[in-house]
Amino acid sequence: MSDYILELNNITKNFPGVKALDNANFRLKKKSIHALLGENGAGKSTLIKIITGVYNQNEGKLFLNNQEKSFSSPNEAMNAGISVVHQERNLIRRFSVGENLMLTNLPKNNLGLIDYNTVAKESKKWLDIMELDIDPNTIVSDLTVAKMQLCEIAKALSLESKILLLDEPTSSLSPQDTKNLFALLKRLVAEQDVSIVFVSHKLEEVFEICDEVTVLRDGKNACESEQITNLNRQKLVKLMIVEMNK
Amino acid sequence: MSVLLKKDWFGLGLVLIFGSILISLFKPAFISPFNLYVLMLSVSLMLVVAMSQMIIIAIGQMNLSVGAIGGLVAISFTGLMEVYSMSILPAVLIGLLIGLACGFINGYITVKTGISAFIITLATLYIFKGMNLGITEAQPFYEIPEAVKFFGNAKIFGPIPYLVIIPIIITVLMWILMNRTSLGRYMLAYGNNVQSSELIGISSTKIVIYAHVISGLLAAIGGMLVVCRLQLGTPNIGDSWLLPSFAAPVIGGAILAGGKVDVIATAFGVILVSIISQALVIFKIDPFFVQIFLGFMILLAVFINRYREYREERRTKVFSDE
Repeated sequence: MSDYILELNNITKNFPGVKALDNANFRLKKKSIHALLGENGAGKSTLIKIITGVYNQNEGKLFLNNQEKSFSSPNEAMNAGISVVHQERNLIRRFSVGENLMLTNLPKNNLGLIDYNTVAKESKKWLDIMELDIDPNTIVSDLTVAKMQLCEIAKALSLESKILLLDEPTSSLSPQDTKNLFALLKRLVAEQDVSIVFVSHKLEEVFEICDEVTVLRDGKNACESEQITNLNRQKLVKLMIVEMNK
Repeated sequence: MSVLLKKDWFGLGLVLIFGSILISLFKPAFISPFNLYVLMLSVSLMLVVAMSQMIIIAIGQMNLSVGAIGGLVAISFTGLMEVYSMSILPAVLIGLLIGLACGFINGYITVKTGISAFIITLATLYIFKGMNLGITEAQPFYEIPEAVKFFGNAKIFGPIPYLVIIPIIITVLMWILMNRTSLGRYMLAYGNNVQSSELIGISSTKIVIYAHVISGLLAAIGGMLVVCRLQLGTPNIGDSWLLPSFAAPVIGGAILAGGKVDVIATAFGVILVSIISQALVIFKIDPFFVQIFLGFMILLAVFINRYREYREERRTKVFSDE
């Protein structure tokens, strides 16, 4: 048994006229924060979409907890415990925070009607785990973007997700919000048995928070599951940038 | 108090109360039993029609065929009783089935083709209306059982007509549906954001078809209630429903892009439109102006709702720039 929660082996994905991924590998260790880096068009988003069931690969295999899987829809991937945290796009903005968190499984009373007291209570549990000071009855559109994103993460946790994919999570956050987010992510990994894939352009963030790094370049691995301690900023940049003048 | 102020129905309720007091001060005839009776009849009929449109607005679509379904069901209901001497109950059931089928057709075609419901229901409007005219050859059915006539015109007590019973039950059920059931909440979630609701695992096919089926059923009930009221089934029942069907939900704060409707506020919107129509009559203003007025009210309500949305969007943008 390996201690990888998610393994992608020799993934190739062809689009008409383009090879978006060419024998790419990606391995996510349990309880780690893994940076996925690469320039635009390097294949990052294709890889994420394969993990989350938006696309299917042409070649290669995907293992979740050492079992081969193939997801035919984002919903299937979500049920298997893989959640993508977008910026705030997946929340129903006119619903309360609590209802958003519980939406896939709204608690009912004896008459089969939604019990909003239990919605508030149950969702509060997840907000508390994240140490988020948000009233579950707050309407989402009244929150700041940073808080919306934290609610997204709370929602992923409430779905019992074991793998969180964070796609450029800090792009619309203030430095203070970013700091809070990182503290939270570290705590989640330590306490909640969660593994995180972290996609970002900001290298300083990668060094601050990630354990391992995978870099994609032209759909291939420029490096795979490298310990962050073996790298420095210069080396990373070199790995990412396509050498034009060779 | 601040919670109340945020609710769409609260402000409308105040307008209704003060408006009614004002009108009755100028024209005491406004609160005469007969006038209240007429008002309740008009509110009852329009309430069902407004709910039929409201549920489609909730999912961010439009149903232009509401009136055509109501008309087709109205003449089928009366035709079955007159031509085939069918008793009331089976005729009602067949009427409901026709409404359900029409709604299913609207929903199924919309969700399977991905074409806007506006276009689909524009087409089915003509199909349903054409069937109506083909069956009736534009002639009304007059042979209505006494029980039906009684139901449409008798009073329970005071000025309260029997006709209010079904619309009130429907309004309560609609409130429960939209506020306390997964189906209703998923419809609103779908109206808010199709993509993210699909990602949560909400089936678009199911939501769209259910919404249109309920809309068809309500339009059918509306058509049959009008038959009770008029004591005959004319082919032009439903022809005038389109404008008020949008007016009431929109005045009640519904956003046409979907995801936001308020059942109570929609009911208040119906009452407001009815009171205004009646006030115009009481103040002896040409009834033809009522439509102009209604048109302007829709415009005003849409502007107000749009302005609110705009403010909401701007606030979020400000936050994201920090």
